[in-house]
Amino acid sequence: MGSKATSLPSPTYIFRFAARPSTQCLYASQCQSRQFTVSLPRQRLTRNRRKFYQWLNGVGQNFKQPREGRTNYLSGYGADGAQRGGPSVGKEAEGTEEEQGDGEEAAAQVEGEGEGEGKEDAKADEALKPDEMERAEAETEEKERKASLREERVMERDKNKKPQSTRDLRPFPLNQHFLSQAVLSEEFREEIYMDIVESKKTVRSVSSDWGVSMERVGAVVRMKQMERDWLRQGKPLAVPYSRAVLSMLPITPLVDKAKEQREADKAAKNARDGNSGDKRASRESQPHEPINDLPVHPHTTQQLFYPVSESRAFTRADAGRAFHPKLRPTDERIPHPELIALEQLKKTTGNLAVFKQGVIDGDLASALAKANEQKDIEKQTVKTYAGHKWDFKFHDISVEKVGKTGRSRAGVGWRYGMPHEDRKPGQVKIPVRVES
Amino acid sequence: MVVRIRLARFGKRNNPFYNIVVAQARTARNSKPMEVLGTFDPIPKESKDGEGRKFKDIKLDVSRAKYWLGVGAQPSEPAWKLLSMVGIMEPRFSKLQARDAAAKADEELKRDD
Repeated sequence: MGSKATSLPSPTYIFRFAARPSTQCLYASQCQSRQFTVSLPRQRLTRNRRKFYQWLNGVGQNFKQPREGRTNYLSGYGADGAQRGGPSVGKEAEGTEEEQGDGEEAAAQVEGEGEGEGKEDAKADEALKPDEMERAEAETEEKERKASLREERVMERDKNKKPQSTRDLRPFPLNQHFLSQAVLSEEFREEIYMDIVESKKTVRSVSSDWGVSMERVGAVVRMKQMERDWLRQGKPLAVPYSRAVLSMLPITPLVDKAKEQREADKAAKNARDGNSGDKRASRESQPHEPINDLPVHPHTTQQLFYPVSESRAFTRADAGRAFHPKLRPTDERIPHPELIALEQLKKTTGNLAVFKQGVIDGDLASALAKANEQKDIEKQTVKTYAGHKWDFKFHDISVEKVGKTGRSRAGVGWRYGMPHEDRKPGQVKIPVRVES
Repeated sequence: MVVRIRLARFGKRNNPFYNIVVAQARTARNSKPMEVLGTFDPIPKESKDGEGRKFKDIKLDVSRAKYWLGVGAQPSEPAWKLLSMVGIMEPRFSKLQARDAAAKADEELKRDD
């Protein structure tokens, strides 16, 4: 029987024979290889496989390592693996552009800091009464410090660079319309958080100052607060991960506001003098995202024919009312209606700072009024009984709200005859609000 | 049959939640009641400012509860506790009261001896 089997080896038999381990393996560490995976790999080199390896050794080489401070998407390279638009060209152009802008300033800053340090050194020297050797040493040290400072600054700036072309922003070569959006840099988010928490600015003012939407400002503040809470609790932060991801994404850097103001003044002056000047606004001063988009109201999505006599003035407010009696005009429904007034004020010689402060004060006052109103309502409807360990808060409600059928959603209490479907597949359980 | 004001347990395992209901005494706990007077969430919540005392949330239609008591509804023990907090029932079933009553009884016993 056995000899017959050996003379006629069937594939299944070979497999079975091979599957039996030659020795019993008591300890996993002594097992050099897995005994049961003996079937030979099929080494047929298909065309696809060949092409795959060809790609891997050609264009694919570019994707082994991320590009520092830039995106590394498929669209950035041609079929031959060369960078489209040329990497060195793009980088140089960027470097020169920025250096023109803030080269002087950076130098001035470095010098200023150097002077400060120098003075401190000098004071120390006087106190110690050193000889010339020591002074020379101090000077070289200072030079080194200056150099390292400058290097750090350059590195910082390189880190914050945005990719130049839209090609670099297309992760999916076949989808030309998808551009990966820039994210806020770490310093930018910190600045926004400090503005809200330390400087006590309103979300609206911070949003219009930095060109970041109000929702994003709220999210940034919440995440930063969570980060701080975690640090306080001693939880570890995934800093290397964050750094790695941020290095591979387009980033909106934090810009120096004073510098931006100077540029804006210069541009305004040029415009007043009638010079066309540098029409192209510096990339840095561009906002992170459009902040004043009009939210689409469901009432406005229908097509509407509304006959109006020619003699009548038909304003935006009227247009809003035509869609729905309670729909406010566009100018009031946008997230930042105050920016319209601000632009009008810019045409005249009004005090912008005073106006901005007025907007902030108004927002704060209305928020305070709202909170007070809420408190008053709570005072009227909520009775508190102080228990031994905790308070009991009694909200006075009305049983009538369940309606005649007893099924109205406004009714209070767990509802009868309604299955609770939270275990049903497909139920979305993402929280839509945060309990404050 | 007696009408009672009592609690009906809803919610999930380890996450209780009660309806304060008016129901016939002999009906099942979670059967459809005559009326839902409110809710009682027995899990204490952190105060909103994060510093004050914890609190338990209770919703109750006080005028309706008064009506049912007026027509002879009998609150269960836990319902009595809640209603006494709002001040529509005389407090009963409190530990302090029980302690006082026990002390008084002890004194009377001693006096008798």
